[in-house]
Parts: sequence; structure tokens; C-alpha cells
Amino acid sequence: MSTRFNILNYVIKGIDMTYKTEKFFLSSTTNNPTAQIVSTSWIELTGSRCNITLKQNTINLLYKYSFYTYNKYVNSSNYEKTFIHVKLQKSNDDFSSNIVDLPGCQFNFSGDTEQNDDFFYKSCSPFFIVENLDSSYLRLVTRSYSTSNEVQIHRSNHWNSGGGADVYYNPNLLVAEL
Amino acid sequence: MTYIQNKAIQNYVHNVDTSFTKEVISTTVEYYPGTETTYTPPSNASKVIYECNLQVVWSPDNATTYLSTRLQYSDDNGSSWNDIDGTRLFEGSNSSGSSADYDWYNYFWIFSIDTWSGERKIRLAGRARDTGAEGTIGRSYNANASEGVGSCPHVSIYSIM
Repeated sequence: MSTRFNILNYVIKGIDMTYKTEKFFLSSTTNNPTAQIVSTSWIELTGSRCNITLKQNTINLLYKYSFYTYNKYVNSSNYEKTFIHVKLQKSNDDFSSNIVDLPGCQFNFSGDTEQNDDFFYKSCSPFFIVENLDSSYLRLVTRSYSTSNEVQIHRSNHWNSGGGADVYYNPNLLVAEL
Repeated sequence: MTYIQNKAIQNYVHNVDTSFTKEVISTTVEYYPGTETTYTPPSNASKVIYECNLQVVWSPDNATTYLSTRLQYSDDNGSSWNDIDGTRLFEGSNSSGSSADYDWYNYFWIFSIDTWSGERKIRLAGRARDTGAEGTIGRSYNANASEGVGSCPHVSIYSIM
């Protein structure tokens, strides 16, 4: 579900002038998301892509996204050790062929990568300020550092007293023109 | 000249209880103190966003912490509470006895939930996986091992129009 506002309106009545503007704003969430497995190829985080209506050549944006991570289960004696890379990308063709990493908009996210049984489960809620954006699309992509650091996103099979569950945290996105 | 600001976000409410007292979360689902707010969305809201930033620490157990956190609502002034789908978080990390990691977690949760009509109470609640994986909310541990009241939850709630 999303909500967008883009209104630019001038009204002149005699000597009075009314100026109304509402900046770009988007809020969306993905309900009951399918789990994503993060391995060593870049994948797009569900619900992180947005289409921005540019009223000017460039705008400044706040981009805020929240998601859940769970170190990938291999078997009862083998869990991966969470270590992923996340970066923000822009595009002017909905990521068909034009895909550009945004400088300064990337980070790493991990648990203890030394301890074999760290069993790291944690949500992640980054935000970025994107200055002078000149493209109509943004998204977050992620990959694991190696095949020993794979992660499951959005869903967990642990809840309350232990395993055997299927619970989820809806990823959500907020984009606001500044 | 009249300038009308962006109305995409309305009814912003925050909750910061600086008289907060730290709370150990054990194996019964219990309220996370400092996170409850009473909220009425505008009639034409499309979503309500509840955000919370708080600290969880490994104590009192030997470093392992696993809390199952969920957002809850009450329509009867807090007599009964309901979990909200899409807000369930099992979080923390394990520690083997030989390499205890004593983690301090800072959580920033953002929940986008369906709107409602009228007044409703909203709060966070949770439980530990077991008595060996408890955690403490809002423990403020400072230099020279002093403790204080500096780590209360910070909550904001607002409506998307």
C-alpha cells in the first residue's frame, strides 16, 4: 500500500496570491513477505524500490527502510554467521539497464563473525539523505560477504520459546522530499 | 501569500518517559515499559506508523539474549491486548560459555500498521526464549560501572494520509 502526494498549484486572486505545494512523499509496506535468502549475488530487498516523481531536475530526499534478518539455518549444528553488504542504487529506467550505486549510501551489517554459534537475529532500519537526486527510481540491494555468511530476510522460524514457528516482520519504506 | 505545508504526515505523538526504570524481560509476555501510547488516527489516514528506539542488554543471564517482541493494541483501555500481524521480531544472539559476548543492542523498530477508528492503546510487549536468554530493557550502564536512568525507550507515532 502506498500514498503519494505531488501537488503544485498557484492561485492568483487580485492582489492576493496563494501558493500551495506538497513535496514528494511515499510510505509503503509489504504485508506477509516471502522470505529472501541473501547469498553472494546482489538481490533487491523486497519493498525497497520506489518511483519518485521529480518536479525539478534534482531533489534532496530522506530514504528510510526497515527489514529483519536471521542467520541462515543450514542444519542443527550449522548456522551461517550474518555478514551482509547493503547499498542504495538509483536508476532512470526502473533498473532495466541504468543502475548506479549512490556514493556514501552503503553499509555492512553483521553479528559476531568469529563465534560459530552466535545465532544472530536482528532487525535493521537504515536511513539515508540523498542529495541532488536526478533519477526517478531508488532501491536497496544486498549480498552476503561469502557463502558462509548467508542470511534469511523478513521471516523467522523462531518465536517465543524456540523454533518451529513462522513469524514475520513487514518491511517498510518511507521516502520524503526534503 | 499562504504557504501550505506537506500534510502527508499528521497527528504526530511522541512518548519519552525519563522517569523510566529498567526492566528484566523473562519468559512471560510482558509490557515493555515506556512504550505505551494512546492514539487516535485521523479519519482519512491510510496507515499508522509506530517507531521505537530502545536498548536491550544481555543481563541478567550469561550473555545470551533472545526476546520475542511484538506490537500490541487494546480497544478496552488496556484490559486485554492483541498482537498485530507483521510486527513479530525474534531478536538477539547466542553466546557459548567459552566466549561470552555480553552484547548491548540498540533497536530501532518501524511498524507500519493498518489504521483504525477512534482511540486505541498501542504498546510493545515480549518475552525471553527461556530463563537463560533473558534481557533487560533500558539499563543505563556508564563509566566506572555507574548506573542511571539514561536509556528509556523513545516512541513516536504518526499517521500517513
